[in-house]
Amino acid sequence: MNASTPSIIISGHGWEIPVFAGHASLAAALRAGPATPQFAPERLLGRKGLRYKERSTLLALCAATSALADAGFPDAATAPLRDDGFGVVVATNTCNLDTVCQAADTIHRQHVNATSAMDLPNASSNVVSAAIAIRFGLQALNLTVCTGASSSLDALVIAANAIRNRRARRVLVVAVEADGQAARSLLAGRRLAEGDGLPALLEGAGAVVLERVDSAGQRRAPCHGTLADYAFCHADAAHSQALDALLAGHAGKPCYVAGDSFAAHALASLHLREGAQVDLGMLSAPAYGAGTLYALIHHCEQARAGRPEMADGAVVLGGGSWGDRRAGGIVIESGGVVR
Amino acid sequence: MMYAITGSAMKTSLGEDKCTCFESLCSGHSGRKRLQAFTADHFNVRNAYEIDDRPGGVDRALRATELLCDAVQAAMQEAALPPDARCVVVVGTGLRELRTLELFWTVGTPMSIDQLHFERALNRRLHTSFPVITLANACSASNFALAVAEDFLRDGSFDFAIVGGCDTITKSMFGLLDRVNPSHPDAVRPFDRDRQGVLMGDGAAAVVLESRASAAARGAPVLATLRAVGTSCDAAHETAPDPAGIARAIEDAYQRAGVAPQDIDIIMAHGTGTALNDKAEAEAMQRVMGLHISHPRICAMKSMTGHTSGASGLVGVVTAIEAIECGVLPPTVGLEHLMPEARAMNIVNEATPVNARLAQVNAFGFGGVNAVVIVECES
Repeated sequence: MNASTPSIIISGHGWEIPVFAGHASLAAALRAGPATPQFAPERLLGRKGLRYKERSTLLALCAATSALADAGFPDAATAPLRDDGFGVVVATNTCNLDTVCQAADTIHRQHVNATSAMDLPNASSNVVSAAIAIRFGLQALNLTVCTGASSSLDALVIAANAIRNRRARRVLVVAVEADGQAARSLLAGRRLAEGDGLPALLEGAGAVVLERVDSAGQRRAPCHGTLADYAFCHADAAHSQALDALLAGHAGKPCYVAGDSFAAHALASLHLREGAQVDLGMLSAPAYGAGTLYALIHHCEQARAGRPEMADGAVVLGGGSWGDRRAGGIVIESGGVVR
Repeated sequence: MMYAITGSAMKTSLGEDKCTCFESLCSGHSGRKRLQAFTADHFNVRNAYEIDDRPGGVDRALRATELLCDAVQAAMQEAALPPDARCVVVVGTGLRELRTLELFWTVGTPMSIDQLHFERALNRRLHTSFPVITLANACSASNFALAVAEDFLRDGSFDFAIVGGCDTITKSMFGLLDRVNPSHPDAVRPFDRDRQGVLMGDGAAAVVLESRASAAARGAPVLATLRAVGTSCDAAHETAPDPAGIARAIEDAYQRAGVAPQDIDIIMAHGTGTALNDKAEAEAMQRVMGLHISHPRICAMKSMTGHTSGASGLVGVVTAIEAIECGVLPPTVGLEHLMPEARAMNIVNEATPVNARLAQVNAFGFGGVNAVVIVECES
């Protein structure tokens, strides 16, 4: 990216992952391991307006509510901001697959008149980003990124670019994946019966608020890190100059990477100090398109907790799983007070 | 910096390539047909604007991907884009490969989860290793893709951007639109008093973007200049449009392009032929353009292509460039009684000679996502 462009900071973050419900941080949740899923959207959203919403929408709204509150917008869930400088970028792949399959199945077996009219909004793959915009009154650009395993990496890059190009002052970036019969069937390679198959995909949502450093400074927003360089690559390529340069330029930073992922070969040549690789296990590849955002949130939480190894930022690598060739990395510089 | 368009392509129910499509559009031909691959008696409506490429009406997987690959390949060829260029691809789509998912679910057609988006297939077809970003932004997706591509070029990480748009009709979306519409339209009649609603169509389009300096350095002819893409979200309703949100996108486009309403020569309207959409679009344009609303000639091409969903914005951009280049704006067919809200608008109902420089292309989608493109070319 151009060195002259203004910094984009992370001013808030939040997550909603049913198997990790009740934990104060992703690190604590990983230490404890997954539990029986618990998800009560009305806890954060109230009861009104939840009916007919996709589960992915509800997860995303909860994560967004937490991130907005963390960024200094605690009442956004009940009093929409109506801000034409505040945009939304959602990363998701599985958001509405079950609705699409069920509607198609009903028409295939019966007639369109046997479908539910309430399914119409959910048949559109941008239903989550639309619901977020409506709920919180976010009126600037609104995007849904569906690029498979690299979705949230791409969403972060696109959101930062949009802020730099003055399409918005700040952007709520949300990643959400939903477990369901259609997703399980795709992963199994055949249509599974109701209730069959294992939840190979980690269901949940994460959210961060990104904004221009000057805009954040005006409202004395907290800064939990600054987005810096990024690189795209292909996971099965023997060599990636862009990614190698990114890693070499930030070799002192901890690097979030799944142990069995594409980037292991890239990292091996960089002689990272011991303990510098962070493998988030079920928060990485099983999180599919949300993996990069969870790593970013994990880093922010650890840095705020004063973990010394996270004091100088991090590199997050993502993508390159479940048939997706593309991968990449993004650098987070350390946070601090915005002046 | 503004970016040059050095290659363009489209494919719709009206033709295999942009020349055939444009000639058909100017002739007022319609791509409307009886349903091609869906069993008609499972629906209330009987027509759509499908591409006739399934002999015997037997549907097949990955048609949206095929259309996208065809369009991108044609645009790359026109631009003579080197396959090893520092290039990003941004694809706007409303429905991704959800039709293939429906076939997987209902008749067991093989599919893997990565085929919901287009990266692997596109690079395989083009023999490239470009990053491919898929944006699922409803019916304004490909105009949003232009905005995201412009941002990538400004960012400096890429020298070229290919912008694509593609959609094929899904049974779920086509069926649910049918389900909620008490009328059963037999054709798309934008801005007509007696319009009855939308019918979907298949389509794809692509353009190649680069800096003017890059185009000059490699001797690539410039088809048009992307002046700006304005964006907004209504943040009001999941499916119904809001004139205030649409107006903000138009204003944003003018402000970013540095143009005034009176500078716009032609408009490719969103014009879906639904009661609410056309009324909201007319109100928003009236609000932003004021007395200048009567100046630009306006075409609502969905009257001939149907609603090509996420591809429709870019199909409009490619058509607008052809219209300026050829000096002819295609008609809006089936427009018999102009709706009262559009009375001041100069909607052409026959192919009309134009001496145009600046074109505006509107696209609005479910979720209140609005993206308005301003392109310029020397006629």
